[in-house]
Amino acid sequence: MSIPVILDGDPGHDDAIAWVLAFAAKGLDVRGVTTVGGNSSLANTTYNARRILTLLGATDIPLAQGATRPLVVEPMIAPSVHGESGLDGPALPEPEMDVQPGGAVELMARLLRETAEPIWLVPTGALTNVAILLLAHPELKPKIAGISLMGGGIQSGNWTPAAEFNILVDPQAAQIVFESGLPLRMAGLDVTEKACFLPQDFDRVRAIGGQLAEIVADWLEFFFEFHREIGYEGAPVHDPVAIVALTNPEILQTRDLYVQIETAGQYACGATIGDWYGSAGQPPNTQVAMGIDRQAYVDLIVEAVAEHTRRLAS
Amino acid sequence: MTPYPTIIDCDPGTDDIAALILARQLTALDVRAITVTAGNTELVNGVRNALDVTALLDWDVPVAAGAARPLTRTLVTAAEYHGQDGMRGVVIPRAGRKTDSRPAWQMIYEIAKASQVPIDLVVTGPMTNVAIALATYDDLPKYLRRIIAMGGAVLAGNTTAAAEYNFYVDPEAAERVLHSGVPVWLLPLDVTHQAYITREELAAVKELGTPAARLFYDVMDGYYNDVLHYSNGRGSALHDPTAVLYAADDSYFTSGHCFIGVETRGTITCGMMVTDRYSDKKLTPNAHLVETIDRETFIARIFATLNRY
Repeated sequence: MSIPVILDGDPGHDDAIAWVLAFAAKGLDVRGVTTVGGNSSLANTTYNARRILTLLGATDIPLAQGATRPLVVEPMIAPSVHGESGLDGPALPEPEMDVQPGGAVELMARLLRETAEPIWLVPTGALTNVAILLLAHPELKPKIAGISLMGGGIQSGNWTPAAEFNILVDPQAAQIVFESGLPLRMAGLDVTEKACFLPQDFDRVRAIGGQLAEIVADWLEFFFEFHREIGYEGAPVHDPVAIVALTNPEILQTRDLYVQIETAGQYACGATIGDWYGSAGQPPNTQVAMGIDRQAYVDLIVEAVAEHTRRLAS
Repeated sequence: MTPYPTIIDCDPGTDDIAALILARQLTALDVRAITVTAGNTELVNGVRNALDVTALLDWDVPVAAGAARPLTRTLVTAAEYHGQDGMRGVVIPRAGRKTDSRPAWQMIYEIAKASQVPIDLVVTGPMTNVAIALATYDDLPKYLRRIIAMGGAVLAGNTTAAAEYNFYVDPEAAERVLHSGVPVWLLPLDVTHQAYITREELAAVKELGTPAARLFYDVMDGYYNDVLHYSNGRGSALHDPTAVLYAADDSYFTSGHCFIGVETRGTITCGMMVTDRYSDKKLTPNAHLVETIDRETFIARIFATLNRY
């Protein structure tokens, strides 16, 4: 039986690859897609989302634009990583679809209301939309199967020494999500920094042939550029790990932890604090991925691109 | 090798006592003084323990009392591990030794200034005394070769989820010391948890039979079973001895130079050590983070050192 999901992200190169995997993966049923600002402005990420769904032939999937700004703090973006458009690199098809009226929270709420079986939320950007959904529609919590997110890092951050970018963009939203009591799966930097595509893996993607494979390979190479400059041997493809946590949890090593979010502090704002030694005396609230079978991860994404390429051709 | 002039600033505290037992016989160290701060136990207990332990070891090293409380916060002791008295009930004879008349910070400064070479300062408790010394004496940094401190944690804390005990107790002091310009080598939980002693090894310490070995065994035995989970059940971490042995010989450790700060204003992260070792920021390095230890060598050194008693 397939797992129903709503994808929520700020594409973004690795969001885009996560969504390719989500649509191609056997066993996922994408019910809707929503956007949030982060990797680039909300306008850019929404435009990118329309282009990605068009590329994937998924123009029948409802897409909605998310919150105009984080709950409390000022918006921030990451052009150094993703370029000015948020998805710089290869040319993409112009959108052949538009967003739903009403916005992300309304779309999520409608999909949750209409569903018979609970839906997994898969946020791969800031957690603003999910937090607003939880605040505005507490009655729909039973319809949420869980939240499988890319964000945070138990050992360290990336955007600051302590904080990972998605959590830092909206720490208050993250706090609401981590305190929600819903089942949480966290793909943070602890695992996603190990989810690296090396240059030879880019070639495997390109060798599939066709427009989608060319574009995904170009995205990987663009994403690698920023990381190569700061010493990486490959591109850490963060966001698809949140999909893998649902479709192929067997390739992850996980640990159940009590995780809290720091929303203040001169260094630690936006940090995900994992209670590794049980100092807080609280039961775990999050299944945290700490390790991954990198080769299996690359194989999954290569196979997904190949599978979706075949599907688009038929 | 000429023994290097060194001051040990501590809050004894059971594993501080284990560290002092080793320091007495480490030929690489010339321990010029022991200074005591409040931490694991109240200052008065820590001072008494330092005096009585040095007397038991027949060690005529000056002992000075320092701060009775952190710079700005209320003292939080660790009685659950170290007992109310800092000895976890281990009884040793009361000695007639007296403290030096000077406060800890003054003694640190005067000994450092009088030394032919800049001295090493080994800190195994909260950094309160060192912060006060640096704040009081502007020229102190030039008399210090390095500060070697046990404190902080990368992965997770032991007092709160975010903070290791020494940093949790006085985060302002640790932040002050880390940004003082004195080269600092930090030994966080991530490395001291690798520096564990197994049940069998601890039993072998007891078998050495000397009063010093017996005391080492007694102070480490008390909470042995309470801390096994920090080292995945393999043994009990020898936190403070790790710092002292590092000062004597750093050849079997690895470290990285990076930015390190201490959170003082967070809601759930006060006392958290924040390191730039892994982030994309590449901030200006201000300290050395000790990351790995060769445990076999470490244990061999402990036995070699205890055998000198």
